Amino acid sequence: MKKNLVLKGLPGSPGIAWGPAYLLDPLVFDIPRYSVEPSWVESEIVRFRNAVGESKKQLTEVQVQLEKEEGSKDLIVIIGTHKAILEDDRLLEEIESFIRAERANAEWAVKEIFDKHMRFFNKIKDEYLRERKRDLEQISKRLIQNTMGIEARPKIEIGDDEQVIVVAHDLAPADLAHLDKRKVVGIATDVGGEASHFAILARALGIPAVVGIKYATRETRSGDTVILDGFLGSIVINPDESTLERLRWRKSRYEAHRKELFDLRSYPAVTKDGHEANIEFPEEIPSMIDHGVKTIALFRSEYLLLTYGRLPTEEEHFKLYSEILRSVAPNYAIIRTLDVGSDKFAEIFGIALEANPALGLRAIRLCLKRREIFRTQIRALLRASVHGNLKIMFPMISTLDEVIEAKGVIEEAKAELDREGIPYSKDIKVGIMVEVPSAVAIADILARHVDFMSIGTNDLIQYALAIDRTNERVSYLFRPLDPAILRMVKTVVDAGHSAKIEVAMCGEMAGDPLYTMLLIGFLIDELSMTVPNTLRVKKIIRESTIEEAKEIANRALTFDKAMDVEKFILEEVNRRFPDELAELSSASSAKELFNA
Amino acid sequence: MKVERELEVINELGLHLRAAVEIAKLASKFGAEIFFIKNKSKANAKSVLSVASLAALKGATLKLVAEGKDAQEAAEAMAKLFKARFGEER
Repeated sequence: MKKNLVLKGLPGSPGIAWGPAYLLDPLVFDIPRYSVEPSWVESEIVRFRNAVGESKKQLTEVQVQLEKEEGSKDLIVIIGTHKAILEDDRLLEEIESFIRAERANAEWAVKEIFDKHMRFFNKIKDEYLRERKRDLEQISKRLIQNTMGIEARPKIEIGDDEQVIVVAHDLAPADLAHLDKRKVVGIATDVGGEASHFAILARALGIPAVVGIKYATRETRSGDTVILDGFLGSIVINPDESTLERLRWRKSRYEAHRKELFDLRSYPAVTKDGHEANIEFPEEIPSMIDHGVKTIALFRSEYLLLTYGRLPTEEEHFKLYSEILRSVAPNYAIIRTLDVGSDKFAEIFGIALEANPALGLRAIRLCLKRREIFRTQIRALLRASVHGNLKIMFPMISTLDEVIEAKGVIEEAKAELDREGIPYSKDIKVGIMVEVPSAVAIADILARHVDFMSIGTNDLIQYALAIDRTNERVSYLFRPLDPAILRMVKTVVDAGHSAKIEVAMCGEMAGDPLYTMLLIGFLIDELSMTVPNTLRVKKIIRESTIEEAKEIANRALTFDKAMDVEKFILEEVNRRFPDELAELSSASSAKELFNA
Repeated sequence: MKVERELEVINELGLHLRAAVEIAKLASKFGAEIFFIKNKSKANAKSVLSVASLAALKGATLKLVAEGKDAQEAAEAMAKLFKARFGEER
């Protein structure tokens, strides 16, 4: 049995719940694909039409059943839209033509045509509209099941006095209708986003939910105890008794606190565009109360590739960057140049797939190789720089040559703009991400060539401890408080400060309140994090002094093992902030908590 | 008869599924062929999926093209539906 296993997903519906897991069968089945004899084509079409009729009938039955239940109006409407799609003559004709043209069996035709439309939805920029592909997936699944004569309704038998956490691959609105809401205290799904219909309905019904957990159904067994945090989007499988006990009496307090954070989520301009907020630390910690979140510490320019699904033009780059810079001016925004590899956006760049993309031609390596793409981005950045206070950051630097070469591209672009008479800011700071161990080793050398450095902890931990991120068997090594990581962080901060440049940190560690005091103690100048984390981190900062933070950092460096550091930090933080550091603060700290 | 008209999407959620359903329902009451054109995409107003695929957000303008005997009535009814936010509050 898995103990204290933390799985991360996305917040679907706020609230905290725990209980025995009730696993819904994922209903995995192979979709047959074959050609039929010409004389059978018409009977395939009949089979398809019957399945459409049956599917509509099932959905109507669900609606009728729901009429009797209070508060299910939204659900009825959504199920109605699913029915309407099954009545879309153009769609039905398209499927029938496919059956005729390909002499395809009905299941194959349904899958083929629905997949085609779903691919189209994938390209939609707006998250809400894009999530509608999930609806298509659910409709197509029902249709295929009915074509094949498989029972489409999930079998749900929850005991009368039981209250369970439902764990499912996906939940169609109609599936939700089959659940007895009085018996379901929380729901966790492998797929889906905040805007999936299921999440919207769960919010309307007030059932805490976490979506997009990927491995929820794989890691959970029916009967496992599951704690679900619908605010931050994580679940813990089989937490120990003392943890559960503490959670019980703290729940109300915890929920009030989390509510405050969850409400912050409703500022879409900050989170949806991939913007990240940051908190600055001038010499005096209390003064940061006034600072709040004013700057953008990391803008991931890959956002553009996501948006366009192709390489953006210089104008498209320019437009977005100008907008970002204007939005925070006169404060700065750090824009990171393209950080992509063969695992992401390979098609767009036309690069070959690699056996090990994490160690492959990616980020700055790829940009220097594909100079024209890089140049386009740099030109747009320079042109946009007149609209605010721009800082440029290069990702995945591993040698000084890369820094010099990349800065060379900036200089070339400036010369070009000069010739064309196009203005740009004369004061653009250029920095690097320190996330490869070689960059840590030569941090003092690199520091002399850049204006700032930012430690990217997610990648640094992975590279430093040689963890293959896709290999779960080594994921236990991923510990931000490993002495190796602490020493590396200190090395980089000291190297930066000796060269009189600022050192920032981004990555999950930077936004996790558990580590805040430690990081301030290391004298890191800037922590970059997602907006929802700022409140909690801020609170810790405001109630700490730099002296005690330094003391904690120094003592943390004296331990030999990750576990000892974790214990120490946990005790220190828990002693000072017992309420703040609730059990499920975030999946990463929860993991340490449970291991401690 | 051919009628062309510009329609603005004014409801908060844009042309999501439910709105697309309302549009297709209304369009199907008319004999005229009704299409929406947005940038380079063209959608058949009688197809829910086709309309939803336009991914039209609040503020988007669609060109409606209706062709047939009752094109004029169809265009007017459609304009009313857009104005009524497809029956949504916001």
